[in-house]
Amino acid sequence: MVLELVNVTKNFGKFVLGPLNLTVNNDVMVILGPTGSGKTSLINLIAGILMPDNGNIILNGIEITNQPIEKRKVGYVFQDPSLFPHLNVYNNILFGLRRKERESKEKIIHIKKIIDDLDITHLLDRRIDDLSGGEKQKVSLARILVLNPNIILMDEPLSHIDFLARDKLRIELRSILRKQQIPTIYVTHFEEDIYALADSIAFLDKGKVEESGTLKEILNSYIRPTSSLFFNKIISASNYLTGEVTKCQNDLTEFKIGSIILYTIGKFLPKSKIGLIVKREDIILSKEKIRTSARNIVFVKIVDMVKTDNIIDVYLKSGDLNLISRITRSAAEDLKIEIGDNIYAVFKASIPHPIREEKE
Amino acid sequence: MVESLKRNEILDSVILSLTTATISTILVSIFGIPLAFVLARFQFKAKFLIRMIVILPLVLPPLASGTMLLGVFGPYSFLGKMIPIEFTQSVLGIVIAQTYVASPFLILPIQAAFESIPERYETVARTLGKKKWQVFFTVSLPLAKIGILIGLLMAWIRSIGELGATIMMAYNPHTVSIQIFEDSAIGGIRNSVAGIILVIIIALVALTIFVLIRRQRVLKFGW
Repeated sequence: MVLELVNVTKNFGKFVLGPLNLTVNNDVMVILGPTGSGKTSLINLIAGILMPDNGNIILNGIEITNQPIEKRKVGYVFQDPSLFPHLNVYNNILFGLRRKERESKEKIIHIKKIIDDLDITHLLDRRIDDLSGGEKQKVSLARILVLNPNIILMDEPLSHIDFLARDKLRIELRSILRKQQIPTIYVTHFEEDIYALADSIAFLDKGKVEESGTLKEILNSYIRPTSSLFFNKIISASNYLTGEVTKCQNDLTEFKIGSIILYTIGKFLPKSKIGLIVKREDIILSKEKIRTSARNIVFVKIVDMVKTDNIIDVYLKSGDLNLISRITRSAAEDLKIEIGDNIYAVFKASIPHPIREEKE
Repeated sequence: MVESLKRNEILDSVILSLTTATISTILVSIFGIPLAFVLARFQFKAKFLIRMIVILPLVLPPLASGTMLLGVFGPYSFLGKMIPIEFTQSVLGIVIAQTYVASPFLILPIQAAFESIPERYETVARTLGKKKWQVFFTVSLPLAKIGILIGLLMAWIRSIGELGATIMMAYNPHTVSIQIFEDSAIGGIRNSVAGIILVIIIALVALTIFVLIRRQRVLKFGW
């Protein structure tokens, strides 16, 4: 399945969305943007809740621009799960299915598999009011997945969930969406969602796509400042590391980036690939190798230094590992560091925040 | 009082009122529930006018309503001359009067019930493949159930208590309200107590049924 938006425009009077040109393949595109940038309107146009003034929305070669909502086979997970309060969990999941479909053996197996994948079997008889925020979003996801949608649209589905449950659900969501192989558009303004879920990113500001590309492309373009402060702030706040788990003992996981060994807290299966965020401010620089409780000490080379006001972003490299440490101008002066120097980057095992896990 | 209760005309009037009130409530609900939904969900030019027409039976004195109905359905009216059916002084006349007077008691609470349902439930249902009419029956109607029950009950009770418009449209056969009015006019308050007690019992039974339905729903769905 491929979703294409060609010159799609919608005029709201004081605000104009578009013209938008986007292509989403069988992967997860995260749409990022500040409040009021037109993110929700964009997915409402795709869902058919709004109709564009101009342009074409094409799904798998078929124009759906003027199709009514119910014919588009779009799975829409709203910010508020909006489960029907007069139905229990199971009947909410079955809501979109016709009677014949509910009785078909194949469909029953399909429904059971989705319920198992989402780990919600124990919730089926419950009333909606008895569910937590995370459980509600899982049920709302099951409700659309049983319909085999052509495309999945998710509008900040984790924003109403407490942060502990959010981290867990984020990792689960990635694995569920990967299994489905359905083009997915995920709208957010959380930095973590990008690293946890995105295959590609589109950054929307004032109704226009300011940046778009694969996660790798966008992260590699970090030095290039864009016109949007919001985007720069989000993308430049953290280091995103991807590595392979080599060992896990007593909640301490050892992982490898090229030949560099690093540590994080958490339980992960050996050989699984993990994605982690390390805040720039959390990386300490030291000219000498110090004895410290921190588990991650890497000898790196300074490849660049970008100065803004009193802050300096120091770009570091060692083999396949690229890091950015954010230090104050006075700290840089005390250390007397320059581009080309070799230095130690130090951070505790509790600093890398695991955000993505792809099991073998 | 016991003697009064044994009078055939009292029991007959109660049975007639129960029957006509039920028919009137069904009639009002057939056009009133969809109308309430339209008023709650859609914006259109004639909306204000329709709202005024819906509220009119509440503000008009019942006798004035009856006079107006006579103007439409009376034997010398255009309709009365065109259609060879006796609208007045008949059960049909009672049903017309009750339907007219009871309609705002059904439409207004049901409109409020539909308005209280967040529209996003209906949008979600559409994204799940339901057509507009399916959304109405599978989402809007069940979610407005309590409001609908209240509307039905209020319209039914109002129909049973209806007097002014019915006197004008159909003094005969006697509904319980007309019977109480006549008994009181002829024999004073003592003569009408039996009818009043029966009406109070009917209201209590209706209210109890409503409370039981609501409690069962709260236990099942929590709201």
